[in-house]
Amino acid sequence: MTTRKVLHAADIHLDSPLHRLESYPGAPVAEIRSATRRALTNMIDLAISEQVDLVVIAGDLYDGDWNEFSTGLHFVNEAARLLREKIPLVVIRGNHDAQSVMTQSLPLPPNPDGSAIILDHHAVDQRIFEKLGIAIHGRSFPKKAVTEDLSLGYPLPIRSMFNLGLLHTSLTGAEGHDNYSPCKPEQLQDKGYDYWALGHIHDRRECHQAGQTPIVFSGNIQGRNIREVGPKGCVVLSIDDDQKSQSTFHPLDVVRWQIFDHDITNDQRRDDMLEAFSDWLPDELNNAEGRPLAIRVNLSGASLLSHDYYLHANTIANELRSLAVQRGGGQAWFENLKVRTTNQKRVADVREHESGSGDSPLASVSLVIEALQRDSTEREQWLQPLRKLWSKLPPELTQNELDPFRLEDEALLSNWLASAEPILMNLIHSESVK
Amino acid sequence: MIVERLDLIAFGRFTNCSLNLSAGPCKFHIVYGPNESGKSTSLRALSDLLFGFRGNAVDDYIHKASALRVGGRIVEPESNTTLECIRRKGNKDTLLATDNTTKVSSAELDKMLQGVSRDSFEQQFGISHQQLVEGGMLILEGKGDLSEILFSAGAGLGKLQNIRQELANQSKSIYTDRKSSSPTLYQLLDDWENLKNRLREHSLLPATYNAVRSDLERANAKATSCTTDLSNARRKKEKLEAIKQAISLFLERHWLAKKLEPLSGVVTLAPGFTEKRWNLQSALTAAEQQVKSLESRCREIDQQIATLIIDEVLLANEAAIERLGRNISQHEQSSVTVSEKQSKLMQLRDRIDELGRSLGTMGKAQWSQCEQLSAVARTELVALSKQHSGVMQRVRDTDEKLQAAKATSRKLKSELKNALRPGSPSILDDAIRTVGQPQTMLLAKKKAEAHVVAARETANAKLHQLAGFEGTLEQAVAMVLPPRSTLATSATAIESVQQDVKSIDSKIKTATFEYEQLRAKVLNDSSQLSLPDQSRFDQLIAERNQNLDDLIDASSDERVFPIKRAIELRDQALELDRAHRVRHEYHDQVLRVERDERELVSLCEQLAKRSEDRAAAVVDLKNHIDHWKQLWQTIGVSAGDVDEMRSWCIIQQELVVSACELNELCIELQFATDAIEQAVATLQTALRVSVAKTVFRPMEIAQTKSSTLFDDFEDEDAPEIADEQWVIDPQDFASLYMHATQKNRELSARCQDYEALMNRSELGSNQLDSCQAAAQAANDHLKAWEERWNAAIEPIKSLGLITPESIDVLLNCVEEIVRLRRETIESENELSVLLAAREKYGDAVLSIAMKCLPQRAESLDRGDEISLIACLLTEGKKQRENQKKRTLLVDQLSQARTSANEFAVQCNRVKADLMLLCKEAKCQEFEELAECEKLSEQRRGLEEKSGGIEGSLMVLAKGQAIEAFEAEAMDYQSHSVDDEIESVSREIESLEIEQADAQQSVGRLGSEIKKMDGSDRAAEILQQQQSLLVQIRREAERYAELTIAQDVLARSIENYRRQNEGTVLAKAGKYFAQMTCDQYDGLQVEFDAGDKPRLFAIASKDKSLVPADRLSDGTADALYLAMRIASLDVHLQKNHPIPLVIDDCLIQFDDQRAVASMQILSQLSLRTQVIMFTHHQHIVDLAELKLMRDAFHLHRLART
Repeated sequence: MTTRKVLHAADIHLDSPLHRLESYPGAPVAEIRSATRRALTNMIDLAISEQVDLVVIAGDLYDGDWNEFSTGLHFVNEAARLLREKIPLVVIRGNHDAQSVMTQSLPLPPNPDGSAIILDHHAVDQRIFEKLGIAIHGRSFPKKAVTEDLSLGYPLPIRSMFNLGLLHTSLTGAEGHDNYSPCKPEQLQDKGYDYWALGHIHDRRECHQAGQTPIVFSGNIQGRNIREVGPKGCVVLSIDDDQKSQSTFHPLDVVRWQIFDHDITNDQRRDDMLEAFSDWLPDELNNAEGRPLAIRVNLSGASLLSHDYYLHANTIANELRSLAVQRGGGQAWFENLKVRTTNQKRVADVREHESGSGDSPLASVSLVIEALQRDSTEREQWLQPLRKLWSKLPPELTQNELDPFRLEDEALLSNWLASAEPILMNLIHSESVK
Repeated sequence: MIVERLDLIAFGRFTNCSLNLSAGPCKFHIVYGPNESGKSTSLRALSDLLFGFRGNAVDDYIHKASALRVGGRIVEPESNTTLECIRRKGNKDTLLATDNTTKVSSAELDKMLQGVSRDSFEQQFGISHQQLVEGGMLILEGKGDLSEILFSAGAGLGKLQNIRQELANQSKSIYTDRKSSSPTLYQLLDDWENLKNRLREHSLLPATYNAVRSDLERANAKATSCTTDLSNARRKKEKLEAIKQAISLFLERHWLAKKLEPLSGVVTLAPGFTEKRWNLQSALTAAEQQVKSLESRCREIDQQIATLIIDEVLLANEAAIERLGRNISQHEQSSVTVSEKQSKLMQLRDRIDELGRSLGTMGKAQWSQCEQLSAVARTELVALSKQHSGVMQRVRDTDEKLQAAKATSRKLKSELKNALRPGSPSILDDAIRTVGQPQTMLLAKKKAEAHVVAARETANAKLHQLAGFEGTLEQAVAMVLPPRSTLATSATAIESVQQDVKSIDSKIKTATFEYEQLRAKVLNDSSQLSLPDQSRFDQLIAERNQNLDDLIDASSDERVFPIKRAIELRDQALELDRAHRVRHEYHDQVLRVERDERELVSLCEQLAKRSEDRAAAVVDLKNHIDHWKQLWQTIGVSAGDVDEMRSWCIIQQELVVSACELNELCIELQFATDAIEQAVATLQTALRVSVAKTVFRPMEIAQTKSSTLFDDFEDEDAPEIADEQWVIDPQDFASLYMHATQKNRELSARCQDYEALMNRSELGSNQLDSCQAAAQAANDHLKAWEERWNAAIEPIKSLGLITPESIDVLLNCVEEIVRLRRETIESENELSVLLAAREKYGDAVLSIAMKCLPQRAESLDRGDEISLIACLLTEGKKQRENQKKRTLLVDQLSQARTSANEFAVQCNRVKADLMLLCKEAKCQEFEELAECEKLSEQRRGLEEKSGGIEGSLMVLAKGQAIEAFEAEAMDYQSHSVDDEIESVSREIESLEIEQADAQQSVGRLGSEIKKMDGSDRAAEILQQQQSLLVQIRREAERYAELTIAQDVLARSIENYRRQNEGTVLAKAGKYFAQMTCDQYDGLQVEFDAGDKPRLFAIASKDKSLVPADRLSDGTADALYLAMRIASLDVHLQKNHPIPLVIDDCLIQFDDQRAVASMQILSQLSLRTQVIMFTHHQHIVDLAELKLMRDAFHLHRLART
């Protein structure tokens, strides 16, 4: 038997939007359009060009309660391309598309051997491809929150075949992901399969030791927010006659997320940060191999400039946007600026206060802010006026699963408090200058 | 930090100017400058030096922005650090060393600035007139709110309310509870709703998709069914129509079969037979005609060939003749050239003869000498002849100058011999320069004496101010105070306890006031109400009931209503109600009194507690004060309170400074005295040496130089100079200086005259030497010329006397003859070559002519070669044409004969083909062929018609056997076929309509399905929603930040008040009293009903409290300034000093307050540098008039 190839992908979240990308003049709007769709198209193209024998998708093909049927039709069109090339496709439902209307009611074309593309959710299902010598074992999520260990029901491997376990799981848990279908890598190893194709965790990672059965999260195929940085794509397995596999990662993303971290501690002036960004951007664009970049700028460190950064955050954001347009050659999208720097002046004021010196009115502002940062009980009185506004905000913003915008978020309140200082300082200074 | 010097190197209108701010110990600098003098520029320069140039510099109108420089010397006294630097405009490394090149780290300066930013510096450490006015307004408009006043004064703010307003406006522009004002967030939320609607419009729901899909399947089935039925009906119709056509065709088919029977024996000729026959017959005729024509042509050509005759000899020499013919023009040109050469040769020979004659006696031997003279020698001769006149003229000129110089030199030597040499003034001159102006030295001494007296007075005055100290000035200076930290700790403790006591007093006062008020209220509430008792109630109820009964009785007659009784009844009811109300009020009153009494008890307890606290605080205060006094007692000082002792310390420090200054001034005075003594001694010595007279004979100078320089003798004008020490009397010192100056001038004049004469004499000698040298050089030059001339004419010496004037003519003539002879030889050679060539050509022509045209050649003369060769060429051409004609005719004859043979062969072939046709048509002769063809054509026509019908029937039968089809067709009657066709047609029309409807449905539904192609429109709107969510989030965050900022501001103001109220107010009160010239005693805080602290001024006259917002404008300004200075004062206690910069803020004050303010600033300047800029002369005048001399330092900027 010759070498067989299997493409393993997961968490496609088709038609899910890219988050927190505000449009502005010069932003590469066209480049991010239908990013998840184009990533899926890249995957199908790759499967055809690599002449893989089988494609498996380990859950979350669709994104939650998004029941726009056009999305499903698009997937049908793409799946049809694959099937025209006689490449079978095996899919399980994950927590996001377990109850999706599309997976339940959209008729999908059958595989070349007549089998259904989606595996059953009542029990562990199998697809055996005799000619390929590959057996797929998998089970779709019957509902969104599956807290029991589905892997327990996976059967024994079939002899003389390459046994691939297809599972949507958080494994032993991961930050930012719900703990669904929990299980341990050792349990999966004990199943005696040749490869575990996992989905749910959006980062690509391997959860096995050297010499063990590969347990692989392929990650999602397109990053959708700033937490999903770096290359995203799928894994192509090459399986030899001894049922040993070698995997190769292939990037499929059409927009790449990246973070520019900058410590302002040693900066002499604001332009130092902008110059560093200008130097960093071309290299990153080069690394992205022609893909547009969605860039978050994170500023940290303690400096007297901190005040300046908070104060002119909007101006700096505009300068960064402008740089992204100028230096990015239409390929860079400035996502957001996060100023998380420490005001050295405030630190000095607090230190002086504690040592008995200082205490000017401006230092008093710093001291009050520092006290409020330390004692969160005093913040309750701000919430009353803000709640009225929050009640009018779209639930998509305040109840967003990925990035909730809630008044109860202590970190948010802390950030706003930090921003209040430069606002006041600016007004005090400008008033005194008048 | 102190700015000791501000260098305006290239800044604004300034170039290399400096402001020296180093004077002390009072570091109060008044910088006066009228408008346009650069006062504001200096102010900006100070900020720019410390913090770097602003991005939008306004001081680059003279110096380029890149050349802007401001420098200075900055000192940090605490650490004894000094920084001298220059600031340039730029973004990086803007601090330079004094060489204006080396980069300097800003770390040192940053350390000195202690983290103070430009904003803080200009705000907290800068006071301007506008700030003062706004601060005054803040006090008046803010109803004396202490928290706001303290915060504003401390921060250097004018209008705190503006900040609050700005925060509120910004937050309102984002969001308010009222949508009508359309803030940003409402607009974004509207956009959000629009996007949601659009998303709904563009979403494809599963139910919609499935319904359309089912409809499409049904429509497809219907369309397929219609298509099948329609197809069957059409096939049936086609069959019927075929049968209808076939019936008539079968009849015609039978008729044709009958017509063909007689023609069965006729040969059926091939379709092209007739045409073939016609072609063969035409070809035969044409070939026979061609044979005849060609034979005739052969005969004609034979005759033409016979008439042509050709000369073979001429043709054999044709090439040679043509070659000679081509050379005819060259031969003719050669003849012309020969004639010209001969003529030119004659002319050359004539010219040579003519030149020879012009030289006269010169023979050929002499010519050859001239020819042998080289070109170099000839050039040398010409050059020498040209130099001759110049050389002679130079000899004459130098000779004349030499004679004149000798005469002048003799005259000057004679004058110098009779002149006298004066003595040197340099000793006296040096002494005068060293001593300098006596007025300056005397004035300096006088000033130093005055300064010493003033400093001593100041120090003694300070000593008297040291209350509680009885020692001498020296003891006061040498006194060691208790450690500063110990004193500060003790003072802080006392102040803190005092503040506590004060605070407790204030609270007791407030509580007492509340207690009294409450007590009065309780007493008031406790006053007895006339409460109706139960019998009164019973009485009122009985009366009411009685009246009610009466009214019922009285109203039994319905026609008359007893109004009067009803009114009485109403009044009774009201009375009863009133009684009830009184009972209720009494009840409430009892409850209220009970509650107030409880509160009174609570207040009593509070008052007792406060009294206990106060007693404890007073005891604590006493302990601290005792400790305080003990501290001072150890150094022999009877201490006052803390503030007094702070002032005491300041005075003591000032006393130390004054003592040091006195000491320095005494030393300066001693220096001034010593300098004058030294000057007198110097002048005496110089005069003694210089007044001597010395005579030098010029001739004796060289002899006496080595032995002695002076021979003293008495000067009649010199004063008598005593040997004893010069008495230091100003008048004598001045006279001595004047006498020395006069003597110095006279000596200088004499020396100058003598030196001028010496110089002239020396110049004359030098000129004589120079003239002699020039004459000698001219003679040497002439001699050299003569030697070169003789050498040059040596080769032609034999020609006789040769002078420079005649040499040119001779050389030119010889050169011309040599050239002409060379040309003659060349022309003779060329002529002989030409003649030989001409003769060779004639021989060649004659030789060929003898071969080809011997008769003609013999008849011609020698030399007529041109006409002979022309004849040969003409004849040759004629023979060549004849030869071409004959060749052509031979070719034509050959072709004609060949063609004739070919046509004869063709005739035979055509005849054979015709015979084959006869055989095919089964006839004997060619002529029968036409009849055969006619019959054959008839038979073919009938057969083709029959075949056509057969074909049509086969088409109509559509694969069915013809016979079966004929049998089927013949079963129908023609009219029944028509009826059936019409019926089927109707069926088809109906089916077609059905099919079109079904297909339209399919198309429509298919189009709908096609639109549901998985497009990304909805996904795109979803992406747009994300973008909008970002905007909404950002605005909401901004709103939150502004809301929090408002709260933080309020907290900060209150926090600052709590932290600084006691210390700042205590100082501000003192400053305020001083500034208002004791019109007010100080400041006091009272809490209003809302427990807000309010500021009051204590009037000196009656100790009444005047609310801060009731003060006059000017006094409010003074209060604000007092608060500002007090804030800075407190700041100074805890931090290193930063210069305070004041921009003309005293102009609102009257003279007394302005002086008082400046005195405060002067006191403050002992601890920190105070720089006040003003453009008001009266402020300067007041300072000079009212302030002590050392209390300030004045700097004046000149107007441009």
